[in-house]
Amino acid sequence: MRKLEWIVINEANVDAVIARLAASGKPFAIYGLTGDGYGDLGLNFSDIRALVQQQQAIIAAYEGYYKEAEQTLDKAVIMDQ
Amino acid sequence: MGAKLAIVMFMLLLGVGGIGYWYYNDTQERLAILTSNNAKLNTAVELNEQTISSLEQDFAKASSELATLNEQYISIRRQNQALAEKLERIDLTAAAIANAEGIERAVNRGTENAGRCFELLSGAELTDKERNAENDIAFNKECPWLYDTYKSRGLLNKTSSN
Repeated sequence: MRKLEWIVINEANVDAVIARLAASGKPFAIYGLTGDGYGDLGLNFSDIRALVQQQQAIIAAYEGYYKEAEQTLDKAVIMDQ
Repeated sequence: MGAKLAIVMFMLLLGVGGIGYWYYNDTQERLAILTSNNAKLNTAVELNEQTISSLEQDFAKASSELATLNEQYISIRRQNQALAEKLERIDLTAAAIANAEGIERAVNRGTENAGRCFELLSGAELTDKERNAENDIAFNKECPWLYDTYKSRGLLNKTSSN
């Protein structure tokens, strides 16, 4: 995944951060989140991850079931023949 | 008179013999048909038993997969809940005011780890650091449960322990 960098700004360090960013030569603009907003972003991320895990679990279960079912069916067909 | 009686007796014996021969042949044919039907029935019974056994196995497998899936769902929900509980304990605003640099490092590390969790879930190769991780936290703080998954699949180096 792409590396991204969070910058934490509070009243005490805001000037230093602005100076640091200005020194880097990039145009100054910041997309901000409050502490709660950051927490919610983390929870959303966690929910998506859980959904991916659930989907993987479903796929694994289907795979396991169908492999077994196919083997049983093949065995039955051989018996029938 | 004796000759006539002998002829009648002979004719009678011939008739009885003929009937006996016909009866014998008919019985043999019937026996052959019954034996063949019996064999067919035996095959049908065997096939039915096989089908029932196959359906039972199928049902057992489906039930077992469903049980595993439910366990995994519970585990996933618990893992997902862990972050919510952690965030309830931490006041991110207060922490950012008290120690902006420390929180900055922590959220950057956390974001990187969380992104790595997605990579791992998508089937990414393990790095040497992950392969040699000594425990689940060293493996990845954001998805430590994956450590056990990789361990059970024998993908971690033997020195790893938890």
